[in-house]
Amino acid sequence: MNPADLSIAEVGAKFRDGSLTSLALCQAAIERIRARDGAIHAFVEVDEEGAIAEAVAADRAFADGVDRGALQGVPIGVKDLVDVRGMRTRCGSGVPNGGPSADDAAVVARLREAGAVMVGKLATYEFALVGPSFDTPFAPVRNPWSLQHITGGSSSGPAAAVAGGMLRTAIATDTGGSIRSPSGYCGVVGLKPTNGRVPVAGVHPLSPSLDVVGPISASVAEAALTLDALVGTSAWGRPQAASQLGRPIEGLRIGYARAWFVADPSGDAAVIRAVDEMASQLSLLGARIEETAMPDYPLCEACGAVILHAEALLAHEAALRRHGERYGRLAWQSLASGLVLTPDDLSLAKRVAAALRDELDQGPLARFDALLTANTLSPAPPFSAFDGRNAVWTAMRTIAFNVTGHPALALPFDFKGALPLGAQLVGRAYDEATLCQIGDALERASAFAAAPKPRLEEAV
Amino acid sequence: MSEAPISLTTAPGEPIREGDADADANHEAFLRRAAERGLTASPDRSAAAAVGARWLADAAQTLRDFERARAARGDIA
Repeated sequence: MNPADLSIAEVGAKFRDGSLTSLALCQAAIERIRARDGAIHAFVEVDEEGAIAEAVAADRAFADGVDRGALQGVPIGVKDLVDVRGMRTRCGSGVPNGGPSADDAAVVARLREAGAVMVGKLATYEFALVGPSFDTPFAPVRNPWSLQHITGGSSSGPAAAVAGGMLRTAIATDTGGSIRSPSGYCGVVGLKPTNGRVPVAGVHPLSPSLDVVGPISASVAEAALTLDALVGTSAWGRPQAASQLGRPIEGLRIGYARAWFVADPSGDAAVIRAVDEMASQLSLLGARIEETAMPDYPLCEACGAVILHAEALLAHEAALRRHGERYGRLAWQSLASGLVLTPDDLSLAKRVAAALRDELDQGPLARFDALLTANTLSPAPPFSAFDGRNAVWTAMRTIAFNVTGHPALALPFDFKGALPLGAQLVGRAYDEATLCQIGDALERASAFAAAPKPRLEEAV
Repeated sequence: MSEAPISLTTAPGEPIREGDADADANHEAFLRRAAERGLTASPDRSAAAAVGARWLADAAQTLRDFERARAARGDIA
Protein backbone atom coordinates (compact mmCIF):
# COMPACT_ATOMS: atom_id res chain seq x y z
CA MET A 1 0.00 0.00 0.00
CA ASN A 2 1.20 3.51 -0.78
CA PRO A 3 2.14 5.07 2.60
CA ALA A 4 0.28 8.23 1.54
CA ASP A 5 -2.93 6.21 1.99
CA LEU A 6 -2.18 5.21 5.59
CA SER A 7 -3.86 7.01 8.46
CA ILE A 8 -1.92 9.12 10.93
CA ALA A 9 -2.28 6.35 13.52
CA GLU A 10 -1.02 3.74 11.03
CA VAL A 11 2.04 5.73 9.95
CA GLY A 12 2.69 6.59 13.60
CA ALA A 13 2.83 2.92 14.50
CA LYS A 14 5.17 2.25 11.59
CA PHE A 15 7.44 5.20 12.47
CA ARG A 16 7.74 3.83 15.97
CA ASP A 17 8.41 0.20 15.00
CA GLY A 18 10.91 1.30 12.35
CA SER A 19 9.01 -0.05 9.32
CA LEU A 20 8.45 3.39 7.78
CA THR A 21 10.31 6.69 7.85
CA SER A 22 8.90 10.17 7.68
CA LEU A 23 11.20 10.73 4.71
CA ALA A 24 9.58 7.87 2.76
CA LEU A 25 6.12 9.12 3.67
CA CYS A 26 6.89 12.69 2.63
CA GLN A 27 8.42 11.52 -0.63
CA ALA A 28 5.22 9.54 -1.32
CA ALA A 29 3.10 12.61 -0.55
CA ILE A 30 5.21 14.77 -2.85
CA GLU A 31 4.90 12.18 -5.63
CA ARG A 32 1.13 12.22 -5.18
CA ILE A 33 1.07 16.02 -5.39
CA ARG A 34 3.17 15.96 -8.57
CA ALA A 35 0.91 13.34 -10.15
CA ARG A 36 -2.46 14.75 -9.16
CA ASP A 37 -2.37 18.42 -8.35
CA GLY A 38 -1.89 19.56 -11.93
CA ALA A 39 -5.57 18.75 -12.43
CA ILE A 40 -6.87 19.71 -8.98
CA HIS A 41 -4.94 22.91 -8.06
CA ALA A 42 -5.17 22.37 -4.29
CA PHE A 43 -1.64 23.68 -3.64
CA VAL A 44 -0.45 27.22 -4.32
CA GLU A 45 3.08 26.42 -3.11
CA VAL A 46 4.90 23.18 -2.38
CA ASP A 47 8.14 23.38 -0.41
CA GLU A 48 9.66 20.04 -1.40
CA GLU A 49 13.14 20.88 -0.12
CA GLY A 50 11.90 22.18 3.22
CA ALA A 51 9.56 19.22 3.69
CA ILE A 52 12.32 16.71 3.01
CA ALA A 53 14.61 18.47 5.52
CA GLU A 54 11.87 18.47 8.17
CA ALA A 55 11.10 14.80 7.51
CA VAL A 56 14.78 13.91 7.97
CA ALA A 57 14.76 15.89 11.23
CA ALA A 58 11.64 14.01 12.38
CA ASP A 59 13.31 10.67 11.64
CA ARG A 60 16.40 11.81 13.53
CA ALA A 61 14.21 12.76 16.49
CA PHE A 62 12.62 9.29 16.52
CA ALA A 63 16.09 7.74 16.39
CA ASP A 64 17.15 9.91 19.33
CA GLY A 65 14.12 8.81 21.34
CA VAL A 66 12.33 12.15 21.01
CA ASP A 67 8.59 11.61 20.55
CA ARG A 68 6.40 14.70 20.30
CA GLY A 69 3.17 12.83 19.68
CA ALA A 70 0.81 11.80 16.93
CA LEU A 71 1.83 14.36 14.29
CA GLN A 72 5.59 13.85 14.48
CA GLY A 73 6.81 13.16 10.96
CA VAL A 74 3.35 13.58 9.39
CA PRO A 75 3.08 15.78 6.27
CA ILE A 76 0.67 18.67 6.59
CA GLY A 77 -0.44 21.69 4.56
CA VAL A 78 -1.94 25.00 5.63
CA LYS A 79 -4.48 27.24 3.95
CA ASP A 80 -2.79 30.22 2.31
CA LEU A 81 -4.38 32.57 4.80
CA VAL A 82 -2.03 31.34 7.52
CA ASP A 83 1.52 32.67 7.88
CA VAL A 84 4.37 30.22 7.47
CA ARG A 85 7.85 31.62 8.04
CA GLY A 86 9.64 32.12 4.73
CA MET A 87 6.54 31.67 2.56
CA ARG A 88 4.25 34.36 1.20
CA THR A 89 0.66 34.59 2.39
CA ARG A 90 -1.27 35.40 -0.76
CA CYS A 91 -4.82 34.87 0.55
CA GLY A 92 -5.86 33.67 -2.91
CA SER A 93 -5.53 37.21 -4.23
CA GLY A 94 -3.54 39.38 -6.58
CA VAL A 95 -3.69 42.24 -4.07
CA PRO A 96 -0.12 43.04 -2.91
CA ASN A 97 0.36 41.57 0.54
CA GLY A 98 4.06 41.94 1.29
CA GLY A 99 6.89 39.44 0.97
CA PRO A 100 7.51 36.15 2.74
CA SER A 101 6.25 35.96 6.31
CA ALA A 102 8.85 36.69 8.96
CA ASP A 103 7.15 34.49 11.55
CA ASP A 104 4.97 31.42 11.80
CA ALA A 105 1.34 31.84 12.77
CA ALA A 106 0.68 30.54 16.29
CA VAL A 107 -0.92 27.37 14.90
CA VAL A 108 2.05 26.69 12.63
CA ALA A 109 4.41 27.12 15.59
CA ARG A 110 2.33 24.54 17.47
CA LEU A 111 2.42 22.13 14.53
CA ARG A 112 6.21 22.47 14.41
CA GLU A 113 6.39 21.83 18.17
CA ALA A 114 4.37 18.69 17.50
CA GLY A 115 6.89 17.61 14.85
CA ALA A 116 4.60 17.92 11.81
CA VAL A 117 6.26 18.33 8.40
CA MET A 118 5.16 21.47 6.52
CA VAL A 119 4.64 20.52 2.87
CA GLY A 120 3.08 23.68 1.50
CA LYS A 121 0.33 26.25 1.26
CA LEU A 122 -3.18 25.39 0.11
CA ALA A 123 -5.63 27.36 -2.00
CA THR A 124 -8.40 29.54 -0.61
CA TYR A 125 -11.21 31.58 -2.06
CA GLU A 126 -9.93 35.16 -2.27
CA PHE A 127 -9.49 36.46 1.30
CA ALA A 128 -11.69 33.56 2.45
CA LEU A 129 -14.75 35.30 1.04
CA VAL A 130 -16.50 33.84 -1.97
CA GLY A 131 -15.87 31.76 -5.06
CA PRO A 132 -15.06 30.10 -7.26
CA SER A 133 -13.33 33.07 -8.93
CA PHE A 134 -11.90 33.06 -12.43
CA ASP A 135 -10.10 36.43 -12.31
CA THR A 136 -7.46 35.92 -9.59
CA PRO A 137 -3.91 34.64 -10.17
CA PHE A 138 -4.97 31.19 -8.92
CA ALA A 139 -6.89 28.56 -10.85
CA PRO A 140 -10.14 27.43 -9.19
CA VAL A 141 -9.69 24.21 -7.23
CA ARG A 142 -11.44 21.19 -8.70
CA ASN A 143 -13.31 18.56 -6.72
CA PRO A 144 -11.34 15.29 -6.73
CA TRP A 145 -14.57 13.28 -6.93
CA SER A 146 -15.48 15.05 -10.18
CA LEU A 147 -13.22 17.64 -11.77
CA GLN A 148 -16.27 19.34 -13.32
CA HIS A 149 -17.60 20.21 -9.87
CA ILE A 150 -16.52 22.85 -7.36
CA THR A 151 -14.98 22.08 -3.98
CA GLY A 152 -16.84 24.77 -2.07
CA GLY A 153 -14.89 27.13 0.08
CA SER A 154 -13.29 29.04 1.26
CA SER A 155 -10.95 26.22 2.33
CA SER A 156 -10.96 24.76 -1.16
CA GLY A 157 -7.30 23.67 -1.14
CA PRO A 158 -7.31 21.85 2.21
CA ALA A 159 -10.47 19.90 1.33
CA ALA A 160 -9.25 18.96 -2.15
CA ALA A 161 -5.75 18.01 -0.94
CA VAL A 162 -7.23 15.57 1.58
CA ALA A 163 -9.96 14.25 -0.73
CA GLY A 164 -7.36 13.81 -3.47
CA GLY A 165 -5.15 11.65 -1.27
CA MET A 166 -2.28 14.17 -1.25
CA LEU A 167 -2.44 14.80 2.51
CA ARG A 168 -4.21 13.08 5.40
CA THR A 169 -4.76 16.33 7.28
CA ALA A 170 -4.61 20.06 6.63
CA ILE A 171 -5.21 23.36 8.40
CA ALA A 172 -8.16 25.50 7.36
CA THR A 173 -10.26 28.39 8.62
CA ASP A 174 -14.01 28.82 9.08
CA THR A 175 -15.88 32.13 9.34
CA GLY A 176 -19.28 31.12 7.96
CA GLY A 177 -18.76 27.48 7.00
CA SER A 178 -15.38 27.54 5.24
CA ILE A 179 -14.18 24.31 6.88
CA ARG A 180 -17.50 22.48 6.77
CA SER A 181 -18.91 23.25 3.33
CA PRO A 182 -15.82 22.17 1.33
CA SER A 183 -15.56 19.14 3.60
CA GLY A 184 -19.15 18.30 2.71
CA TYR A 185 -18.68 18.76 -1.01
CA CYS A 186 -15.37 16.86 -1.04
CA GLY A 187 -16.33 13.96 1.26
CA VAL A 188 -13.79 14.63 4.01
CA VAL A 189 -14.02 15.47 7.71
CA GLY A 190 -14.02 19.11 8.84
CA LEU A 191 -13.84 20.13 12.48
CA LYS A 192 -14.72 23.72 13.39
CA PRO A 193 -13.61 24.10 16.99
CA THR A 194 -15.28 26.27 19.59
CA ASN A 195 -14.61 29.93 18.82
CA GLY A 196 -11.50 30.95 20.75
CA ARG A 197 -10.23 27.38 21.21
CA VAL A 198 -7.38 27.75 18.69
CA PRO A 199 -5.25 30.92 18.44
CA VAL A 200 -5.70 33.02 15.29
CA ALA A 201 -2.51 35.11 15.56
CA GLY A 202 -0.80 35.13 12.19
CA VAL A 203 -3.98 34.21 10.31
CA HIS A 204 -5.29 36.85 7.92
CA PRO A 205 -8.55 38.04 9.50
CA LEU A 206 -11.89 38.02 7.74
CA SER A 207 -14.24 38.65 10.66
CA PRO A 208 -12.50 38.43 14.04
CA SER A 209 -15.74 37.72 15.90
CA LEU A 210 -16.41 34.65 13.77
CA ASP A 211 -13.01 33.39 12.54
CA VAL A 212 -11.74 30.02 13.77
CA VAL A 213 -8.88 27.75 12.72
CA GLY A 214 -9.35 23.99 12.53
CA PRO A 215 -8.52 20.81 10.64
CA ILE A 216 -9.81 19.19 7.48
CA SER A 217 -8.81 15.53 7.59
CA ALA A 218 -9.37 12.11 6.08
CA SER A 219 -11.11 10.74 9.18
CA VAL A 220 -12.61 11.89 12.46
CA ALA A 221 -9.70 10.46 14.45
CA GLU A 222 -7.18 12.34 12.31
CA ALA A 223 -9.14 15.57 12.69
CA ALA A 224 -9.18 15.07 16.47
CA LEU A 225 -5.43 14.44 16.62
CA THR A 226 -4.76 17.49 14.48
CA LEU A 227 -6.99 19.71 16.60
CA ASP A 228 -5.24 18.50 19.73
CA ALA A 229 -1.91 19.59 18.23
CA LEU A 230 -3.37 23.00 17.34
CA VAL A 231 -4.74 23.49 20.85
CA GLY A 232 -1.45 22.51 22.43
CA THR A 233 -1.19 23.00 26.14
CA SER A 234 -2.08 26.56 26.96
CA ALA A 235 -4.29 28.78 29.02
CA TRP A 236 -7.08 27.96 26.54
CA GLY A 237 -7.19 24.35 27.52
CA ARG A 238 -5.55 20.97 27.17
CA PRO A 239 -5.79 18.66 24.18
CA GLN A 240 -8.89 16.51 24.54
CA ALA A 241 -10.57 16.08 21.15
CA ALA A 242 -9.13 12.57 20.73
CA SER A 243 -9.73 11.52 24.33
CA GLN A 244 -13.08 9.75 23.73
CA LEU A 245 -12.35 8.11 20.37
CA GLY A 246 -13.46 4.50 20.20
CA ARG A 247 -15.78 4.74 23.21
CA PRO A 248 -19.35 3.55 22.63
CA ILE A 249 -22.05 6.17 22.20
CA GLU A 250 -24.76 4.10 23.86
CA GLY A 251 -26.98 6.29 25.98
CA LEU A 252 -25.81 9.61 24.56
CA ARG A 253 -28.69 11.98 23.81
CA ILE A 254 -28.63 13.50 20.33
CA GLY A 255 -31.10 16.15 19.20
CA TYR A 256 -32.01 15.89 15.52
CA ALA A 257 -32.59 19.40 14.11
CA ARG A 258 -34.54 18.06 11.12
CA ALA A 259 -37.13 20.78 10.74
CA TRP A 260 -34.26 23.25 10.53
CA PHE A 261 -33.44 22.19 6.96
CA VAL A 262 -36.00 19.82 5.40
CA ALA A 263 -38.35 22.55 4.20
CA ASP A 264 -35.60 24.59 2.54
CA PRO A 265 -36.52 24.72 -1.17
CA SER A 266 -32.81 24.55 -2.05
CA GLY A 267 -32.44 21.22 -0.25
CA ASP A 268 -31.72 18.09 -2.26
CA ALA A 269 -33.85 15.08 -1.34
CA ALA A 270 -30.72 12.92 -1.33
CA VAL A 271 -29.24 15.09 1.45
CA ILE A 272 -32.39 14.70 3.54
CA ARG A 273 -32.27 10.93 3.05
CA ALA A 274 -28.59 10.84 4.01
CA VAL A 275 -29.08 12.83 7.22
CA ASP A 276 -32.14 10.72 8.14
CA GLU A 277 -30.01 7.63 7.58
CA MET A 278 -27.29 9.06 9.87
CA ALA A 279 -29.91 9.64 12.59
CA SER A 280 -31.10 6.07 12.17
CA GLN A 281 -27.54 4.76 12.35
CA LEU A 282 -26.87 6.73 15.53
CA SER A 283 -29.97 5.14 17.04
CA LEU A 284 -28.75 1.67 16.04
CA LEU A 285 -25.47 2.47 17.80
CA GLY A 286 -27.42 3.06 21.01
CA ALA A 287 -27.80 6.84 21.07
CA ARG A 288 -31.16 8.32 22.03
CA ILE A 289 -32.41 10.42 19.12
CA GLU A 290 -35.12 13.02 19.47
CA GLU A 291 -36.17 15.84 17.18
CA THR A 292 -35.39 19.26 18.53
CA ALA A 293 -36.37 22.84 17.85
CA MET A 294 -33.59 25.30 17.07
CA PRO A 295 -33.14 29.07 16.96
CA ASP A 296 -34.67 30.65 13.87
CA TYR A 297 -32.25 29.91 11.02
CA PRO A 298 -32.90 33.04 8.89
CA LEU A 299 -32.18 35.09 12.01
CA CYS A 300 -28.90 33.21 12.57
CA GLU A 301 -27.95 33.78 8.94
CA ALA A 302 -28.83 37.49 9.06
CA CYS A 303 -26.83 37.91 12.24
CA GLY A 304 -23.78 36.16 10.79
CA ALA A 305 -23.97 38.09 7.53
CA VAL A 306 -24.08 41.45 9.28
CA ILE A 307 -21.14 40.65 11.55
CA LEU A 308 -19.09 39.11 8.74
CA HIS A 309 -19.62 41.89 6.22
CA ALA A 310 -19.23 44.75 8.69
CA GLU A 311 -15.98 43.37 10.09
CA ALA A 312 -14.60 42.28 6.71
CA LEU A 313 -15.05 45.77 5.31
CA LEU A 314 -13.28 47.26 8.32
CA ALA A 315 -10.36 44.90 7.70
CA HIS A 316 -10.16 45.63 3.96
CA GLU A 317 -11.31 49.22 3.52
CA ALA A 318 -7.86 50.80 3.28
CA ALA A 319 -6.66 48.17 0.81
CA LEU A 320 -9.85 48.52 -1.24
CA ARG A 321 -9.08 52.23 -1.67
CA ARG A 322 -5.47 51.59 -2.72
CA HIS A 323 -5.86 48.40 -4.73
CA GLY A 324 -9.57 48.07 -5.51
CA GLU A 325 -8.88 47.02 -9.09
CA ARG A 326 -6.57 44.20 -7.93
CA TYR A 327 -9.35 42.48 -6.00
CA GLY A 328 -11.22 39.81 -7.91
CA ARG A 329 -14.72 40.78 -8.87
CA LEU A 330 -16.56 38.54 -6.41
CA ALA A 331 -14.41 39.54 -3.44
CA TRP A 332 -14.76 43.24 -4.25
CA GLN A 333 -18.53 42.93 -4.54
CA SER A 334 -18.80 41.01 -1.29
CA LEU A 335 -16.65 43.47 0.65
CA ALA A 336 -18.20 46.62 -0.82
CA SER A 337 -21.72 45.42 -0.03
CA GLY A 338 -20.83 45.97 3.63
CA LEU A 339 -20.90 49.74 3.00
CA VAL A 340 -24.60 49.66 3.82
CA LEU A 341 -23.97 48.58 7.42
CA THR A 342 -23.47 50.94 10.33
CA PRO A 343 -21.58 50.56 13.63
CA ASP A 344 -24.99 50.29 15.29
CA ASP A 345 -25.83 47.34 13.04
CA LEU A 346 -22.65 45.56 14.12
CA SER A 347 -23.34 46.22 17.82
CA LEU A 348 -26.89 44.96 17.42
CA ALA A 349 -25.71 41.83 15.59
CA LYS A 350 -23.34 41.03 18.45
CA ARG A 351 -26.19 41.37 20.96
CA VAL A 352 -28.35 39.07 18.84
CA ALA A 353 -25.46 36.59 18.60
CA ALA A 354 -25.27 36.48 22.40
CA ALA A 355 -29.03 35.86 22.59
CA LEU A 356 -28.79 33.05 20.03
CA ARG A 357 -25.91 31.46 21.95
CA ASP A 358 -27.96 31.56 25.15
CA GLU A 359 -30.97 30.10 23.35
CA LEU A 360 -28.91 27.16 22.11
CA ASP A 361 -27.15 26.62 25.45
CA GLN A 362 -30.31 26.82 27.53
CA GLY A 363 -32.47 24.93 25.02
CA PRO A 364 -31.25 22.06 22.84
CA LEU A 365 -27.73 21.84 24.26
CA ALA A 366 -29.06 21.69 27.81
CA ARG A 367 -31.12 18.62 26.88
CA PHE A 368 -28.79 16.88 24.46
CA ASP A 369 -25.12 15.87 24.39
CA ALA A 370 -24.92 16.90 20.72
CA LEU A 371 -27.10 17.91 17.79
CA LEU A 372 -27.37 16.42 14.30
CA THR A 373 -28.35 18.58 11.34
CA ALA A 374 -27.51 19.17 7.70
CA ASN A 375 -24.25 20.70 6.51
CA THR A 376 -24.48 21.57 2.80
CA LEU A 377 -27.99 21.07 1.43
CA SER A 378 -26.85 19.71 -1.92
CA PRO A 379 -23.92 17.83 -3.37
CA ALA A 380 -21.17 19.94 -4.95
CA PRO A 381 -22.56 22.10 -7.78
CA PRO A 382 -20.94 22.00 -11.22
CA PHE A 383 -18.62 24.78 -12.40
CA SER A 384 -21.15 25.48 -15.12
CA ALA A 385 -23.45 27.00 -12.47
CA PHE A 386 -20.93 29.81 -11.84
CA ASP A 387 -20.20 32.64 -14.25
CA GLY A 388 -17.64 34.43 -12.10
CA ARG A 389 -19.62 37.68 -12.29
CA ASN A 390 -22.17 37.16 -9.55
CA ALA A 391 -22.04 35.12 -6.37
CA VAL A 392 -24.22 32.01 -6.46
CA TRP A 393 -26.21 31.11 -3.37
CA THR A 394 -25.47 27.57 -2.14
CA ALA A 395 -27.63 26.60 0.82
CA MET A 396 -26.04 25.23 3.98
CA ARG A 397 -26.56 25.30 7.76
CA THR A 398 -23.14 26.43 8.91
CA ILE A 399 -22.86 30.10 9.85
CA ALA A 400 -25.22 29.72 12.84
CA PHE A 401 -22.42 28.02 14.79
CA ASN A 402 -19.87 30.72 13.95
CA VAL A 403 -22.41 33.12 15.40
CA THR A 404 -22.99 31.08 18.55
CA GLY A 405 -19.40 29.82 18.75
CA HIS A 406 -20.27 26.14 19.26
CA PRO A 407 -18.02 23.41 17.84
CA ALA A 408 -19.26 21.58 14.75
CA LEU A 409 -18.07 18.48 12.92
CA ALA A 410 -18.80 17.92 9.23
CA LEU A 411 -18.59 14.33 8.14
CA PRO A 412 -19.42 12.40 4.97
CA PHE A 413 -21.87 9.52 5.01
CA ASP A 414 -23.21 8.72 1.55
CA PHE A 415 -23.13 9.61 -2.14
CA LYS A 416 -25.40 11.00 -4.80
CA GLY A 417 -23.92 9.52 -7.93
CA ALA A 418 -20.19 10.20 -7.73
CA LEU A 419 -20.54 13.09 -5.30
CA PRO A 420 -20.34 12.82 -1.50
CA LEU A 421 -23.10 13.78 0.91
CA GLY A 422 -22.84 14.32 4.65
CA ALA A 423 -24.09 16.17 7.68
CA GLN A 424 -23.00 18.14 10.69
CA LEU A 425 -22.80 17.35 14.41
CA VAL A 426 -22.83 20.27 16.84
CA GLY A 427 -21.62 20.16 20.42
CA ARG A 428 -21.51 22.10 23.62
CA ALA A 429 -18.87 24.80 23.87
CA TYR A 430 -15.38 23.30 24.36
CA ASP A 431 -16.74 19.75 24.05
CA GLU A 432 -15.09 18.71 20.80
CA ALA A 433 -14.34 15.35 22.46
CA THR A 434 -17.99 14.22 22.46
CA LEU A 435 -18.41 15.37 18.86
CA CYS A 436 -15.39 13.32 17.80
CA GLN A 437 -16.58 10.32 19.83
CA ILE A 438 -19.95 10.36 18.03
CA GLY A 439 -18.44 11.15 14.64
CA ASP A 440 -15.89 8.37 14.98
CA ALA A 441 -18.60 5.83 15.87
CA LEU A 442 -20.73 6.97 12.95
CA GLU A 443 -17.78 6.83 10.58
CA ARG A 444 -16.98 3.26 11.60
CA ALA A 445 -20.60 2.27 10.97
CA SER A 446 -20.96 4.02 7.61
CA ALA A 447 -20.20 2.60 4.22
CA PHE A 448 -18.51 5.83 3.17
CA ALA A 449 -15.14 5.14 4.78
CA ALA A 450 -14.87 1.82 2.96
CA ALA A 451 -16.09 3.17 -0.38
CA PRO A 452 -13.62 3.49 -3.27
CA LYS A 453 -11.75 6.81 -3.30
CA PRO A 454 -11.74 9.18 -6.30
CA ARG A 455 -10.27 7.49 -9.38
CA LEU A 456 -7.69 10.19 -9.84
CA GLU A 457 -5.12 8.30 -11.86
CA GLU A 458 -7.70 8.01 -14.61
CA ALA A 459 -8.78 11.62 -14.17
CA VAL A 460 -5.20 12.88 -14.32
CA MET B 1 -20.32 54.08 8.88
CA SER B 2 -22.66 56.66 10.30
CA GLU B 3 -25.49 56.75 7.78
CA ALA B 4 -28.80 54.99 8.08
CA PRO B 5 -29.25 51.92 5.89
CA ILE B 6 -30.61 52.40 2.40
CA SER B 7 -34.41 52.30 2.59
CA LEU B 8 -36.10 49.59 0.58
CA THR B 9 -39.45 49.65 -1.15
CA THR B 10 -39.55 46.11 -2.53
CA ALA B 11 -40.37 43.08 -0.41
CA PRO B 12 -37.35 41.16 0.91
CA GLY B 13 -36.41 38.42 -1.50
CA GLU B 14 -37.99 40.11 -4.50
CA PRO B 15 -35.52 40.01 -7.38
CA ILE B 16 -34.12 43.23 -8.77
CA ARG B 17 -35.00 43.57 -12.44
CA GLU B 18 -33.10 45.36 -15.12
CA GLY B 19 -34.59 48.80 -15.50
CA ASP B 20 -36.18 48.52 -12.08
CA ALA B 21 -36.44 52.08 -10.73
CA ASP B 22 -35.96 50.86 -7.20
CA ALA B 23 -32.85 48.92 -8.19
CA ASP B 24 -31.53 51.99 -9.96
CA ALA B 25 -32.14 54.11 -6.86
CA ASN B 26 -30.49 51.47 -4.73
CA HIS B 27 -27.47 51.44 -7.05
CA GLU B 28 -27.25 55.24 -6.98
CA ALA B 29 -27.40 55.26 -3.19
CA PHE B 30 -24.68 52.63 -3.11
CA LEU B 31 -22.47 54.66 -5.47
CA ARG B 32 -22.87 57.77 -3.29
CA ARG B 33 -21.93 55.78 -0.23
CA ALA B 34 -18.92 54.25 -1.97
CA ALA B 35 -17.74 57.64 -3.25
CA GLU B 36 -17.96 59.10 0.26
CA ARG B 37 -15.67 56.32 1.44
CA GLY B 38 -13.25 56.71 -1.47
CA LEU B 39 -14.14 53.45 -3.22
CA THR B 40 -14.56 53.25 -6.97
CA ALA B 41 -15.39 50.40 -9.33
CA SER B 42 -16.82 49.65 -12.73
CA PRO B 43 -20.61 50.03 -13.04
CA ASP B 44 -21.25 46.29 -13.31
CA ARG B 45 -19.18 45.55 -10.19
CA SER B 46 -20.92 48.26 -8.22
CA ALA B 47 -24.36 47.20 -9.44
CA ALA B 48 -23.76 43.67 -8.14
CA ALA B 49 -22.41 45.02 -4.86
CA ALA B 50 -25.51 47.20 -4.53
CA VAL B 51 -27.67 44.04 -4.75
CA GLY B 52 -25.60 42.50 -1.96
CA ALA B 53 -25.91 45.70 0.05
CA ARG B 54 -29.65 45.57 -0.28
CA TRP B 55 -29.70 41.99 1.03
CA LEU B 56 -27.54 43.08 3.97
CA ALA B 57 -29.85 46.00 4.69
CA ASP B 58 -32.68 43.46 4.89
CA ALA B 59 -30.58 41.34 7.22
CA ALA B 60 -29.95 44.32 9.51
CA GLN B 61 -33.67 45.06 9.51
CA THR B 62 -34.37 41.44 10.53
CA LEU B 63 -32.11 41.97 13.55
CA ARG B 64 -33.84 45.22 14.50
CA ASP B 65 -37.25 43.51 14.28
CA PHE B 66 -35.98 40.66 16.47
CA GLU B 67 -34.66 43.03 19.12
CA ARG B 68 -37.86 45.08 19.06
CA ALA B 69 -39.90 41.90 19.58
CA ARG B 70 -37.68 40.83 22.48
CA ALA B 71 -38.04 44.23 24.07
CA ALA B 72 -41.83 44.06 23.64
CA ARG B 73 -41.83 40.69 25.43
CA GLY B 74 -39.73 42.16 28.21
CA ASP B 75 -36.79 39.85 27.39
CA ILE B 76 -34.39 42.79 27.34
CA ALA B 77 -34.32 46.02 29.28
